[in-house]
Formats: sequence, C-alpha cells, structure tokens
Amino acid sequence: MTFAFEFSNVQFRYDGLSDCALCGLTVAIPPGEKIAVLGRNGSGKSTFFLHCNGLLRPQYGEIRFGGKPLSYARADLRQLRRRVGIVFQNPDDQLFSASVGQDISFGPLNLGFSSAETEERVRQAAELCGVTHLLDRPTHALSGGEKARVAMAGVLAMEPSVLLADELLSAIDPWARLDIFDILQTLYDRGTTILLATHDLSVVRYWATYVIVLQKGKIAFSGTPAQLLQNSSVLEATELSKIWWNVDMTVEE
Amino acid sequence: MLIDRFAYGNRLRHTDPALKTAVSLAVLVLCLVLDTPAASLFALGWMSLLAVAVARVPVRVFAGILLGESTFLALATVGIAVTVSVAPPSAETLWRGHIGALWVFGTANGLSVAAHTVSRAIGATAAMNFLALTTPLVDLVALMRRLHVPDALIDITATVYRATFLLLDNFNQMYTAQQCRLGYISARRSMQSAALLGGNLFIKTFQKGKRLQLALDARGFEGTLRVLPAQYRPNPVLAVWGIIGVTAMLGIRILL
Repeated sequence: MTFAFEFSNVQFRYDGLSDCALCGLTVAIPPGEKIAVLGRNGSGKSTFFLHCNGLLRPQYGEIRFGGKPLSYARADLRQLRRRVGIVFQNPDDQLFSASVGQDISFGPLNLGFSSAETEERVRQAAELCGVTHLLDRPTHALSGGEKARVAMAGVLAMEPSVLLADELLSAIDPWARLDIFDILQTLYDRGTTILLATHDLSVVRYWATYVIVLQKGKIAFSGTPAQLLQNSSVLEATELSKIWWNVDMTVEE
Repeated sequence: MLIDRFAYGNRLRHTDPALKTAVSLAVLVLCLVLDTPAASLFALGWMSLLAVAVARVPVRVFAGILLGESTFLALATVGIAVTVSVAPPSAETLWRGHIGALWVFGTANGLSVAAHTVSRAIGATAAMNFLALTTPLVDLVALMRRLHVPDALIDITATVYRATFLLLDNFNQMYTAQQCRLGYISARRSMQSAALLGGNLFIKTFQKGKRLQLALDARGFEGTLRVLPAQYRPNPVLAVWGIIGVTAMLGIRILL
C-alpha cells in the first residue's frame, strides 16, 4: 500500500524554544481514511499538519507524500498544496478577502485555473459547504459556523486529495459541527483522506476510521479506534483514560 | 460598521462601481472647480436624493452621517469667518467684540470665503458619502484592478480593510475582558488598562498577521492576492440621473 504520508524520525524545534515540537515523529498515514489526530495542547498536532502542507520543513528526518520524498521547490510546493489542503483552527486566520466568493476563489486562481474554471470550482465548493447564499457577503459579517464552512470551502475549491482540519470543531456550536461532519462525510465518500485534529473523543468513537495519538512530539499510538479502545496501557500512558468518561467504550465486533 | 452595512444592502449594490465612482467624482470635481455655492448646494441635494430615493439608504442614516461631517466642517471654518487680533479691526466689520485684550470680529469677506468653503466641502462630502454608502470596498478594489492600479496597492487596501475588522474584534474582546475584571474602575486603573490593551493589541495583531501569512501560503500564495472579479449590472437610470445632475450644476454656474 502507498501511504498518503510517511514521516520518518522527523524533528522540528521552533526558534527560541528549548523543547522540540516534533521529537523524532515516525508515522504512516493510510489513504482514504477518516483520521482523528488526538493529543494535548502542545503535543505537536498543528506542527505536524504544517509539515504535511510544506509550510514547515523538518530540521531532521524525512517526509514522503504518495511514496515520494517531499520537495520544497516552488513548483513542487504548488503541486503539494493543490493536493493537500489545510483548514486552520480559527477561520479568521484564513479569511482575508472582503467577500466570501472572492475568498473562495483565491486558491484556484493561485493554482493557475482560468476565471471560468475558478467560478465553477467556487460554485461547487460553496454548494458542498452550504454557503452559496453567502457568496456576496463580507467575510467579517459571518457567524462562527459560517466562517468555518467558508474557510473549508476555500480549501475544498482546490480539490485536495488530503484534507487537514486543525481543531476546526473547537469553536463552533453542535449544530454547526453537524454541518461540518456532513461535509467531511461527503469528502470521505469521494475518497479524500481526512485528518481531523480534535480533543473530542466522541469523534474517535463515532466518526474516525483511524486514530493517531501524539504525545510530546512523538506518536504514542496509531491504529483503528477499536484497537485504541482495547489498549488500556496506551489509554493510561496518554492520559486519555482520564477524559474518556463520557464516551461509550463498547467495541462492536 | 454602519457604512459597510448599507454599502452591502442598498439598491445600487450590483451597479457597476465604475458608474457610481464616475458620478461621485464628477460631482466632487465640479464642486471644487465651479466654486459656486448654489451649484454645491444643488450637489448636496442631488446626491442626497440619489442615495435616499434611488439607492434606498435611509434618510436618517444619510442625514446623520452628513450632520456629523457638517459639524466638523463648521468648526473648521470658524477660523476663516472669525478673526482674532490684538489690534482693533481696520476694515469695515459685520460685528465686533473683545475678550480681554483681544479683538474678535467678522468681515463680509471672511464670511463669504467661509460660506464658499463650507458649501464646496459639503457638496463634495455628499458625493463621497453617496459612493461610500452604495459601494462596498470590495467593489472599489475590483474597480482598481480594472484600472490597472499596481497589485501591491490593491493588496494593501484589501488587507487593511480586513485587518480593520480583525483589530476591532480583538479590541472589543480585550476591552470586555478588562472591564469584567474592573480594569476601568478608576482613572488610574483606566490609564493602566488602556496602555496594556494598546500594547497587547499590537502583539496579538502581529501574531494574527503571521497566522494569516501561513494560511495564505497554504493556499498557494505567491505574492499577489488574486481573487475573482465581481459581476455587475449596467444601470442606465443612474447614468441618466448622473448626467442630469452634472448638467444642472454646469447650468447653475453659467446662469449665476
């Protein structure tokens, strides 16, 4: 099997900080899965995502995408970002344009698509994310849930084969979450690999088909939700057992 | 922001911004060039009518904004209409008085210059208000692109516009957080809190800028913020109204 991503002993430390953000991270991401990425704040989830998109370069180790080592040449980065989209935790960090439609069009135009192709992609992404009625609206006049969906549409307009969502669910209400899960399910059905960083364990229990647990910049666990639920030593070591109280841990055979 | 809300919600929202800008600029330039108070006052009425009757901006909104600007203008022209001097006035004055050793007086010439200045400014301001209340900045940015304004200038304009709202959001959140913890309970605490807010606002905005840069890079940013141009409708009615207004201003100048 060709993995979506393979990280081999990747290390990264931010300037001015003594602790490493990624400390020899080794993991293989299977393609076409709904992957929950768990870990406490500061465990390296966001840094891991930024490496996947080529926004950060490992200081040591190797990253392979689709079986090939990542190249950081401009043309290669453009190809990578066409195939790997990232939605950030706070949509306000992502929405820059004055209107929703224009913001969504930014990615496809950067990929070199014509105006007609871009318009079509904007239309499709807006429809998928349920923001067609917002296309003329200024981005600052949106609710939190609308901003999240628009931010997602801006990435999906680039039609990535891998979607990274960095704690997208953390600042939106449960109804908006349902909308997001509907969008994610549609993408999954189309074969998109989805990595969702989250603190919500019900996501692992009821949504994910694969789980990665990060701890202090390393992989503490990777496998299926059932494997994680049955592995009490990992649950104890990663302290997930302390916050697992509100999730039904029954594993269906 | 009030202006932004009406710019997006008025009846001329989808009219080509080039036409709205042309009408506004033509009236503005005529107010400045003709220097005829009657023509300027006509421009004030005409642009108000276009905004209220054609674009359907509420009267109280247009009048409220104009009133605020007029107050500022009136205060600024007091210096022209009123002369303060240590020497008694030599020319014929309309009125005179003194405060201590200072003579305060007004001349017919000073009043005339002040009236001309106010009328020119108020006519031009009404034209700009019409544009601001009927045209969102996003449309003006699109127009700048059509006019081949340099990309860097357009990107700065668009980013500053967006950053203004982010800055306001940050400010409101931090101010509320300070108020909740009695940050403005006394004059001394208010000054300290305001200083902290100012400093932290800068840091937070800088951090937000860095995160925005990452997000732009993730979507393939290579130096230019390229977005799709908006689609607009032709509006012959506004064009006709604009031509009538400009012709009338020129007619007033010729007749007076």
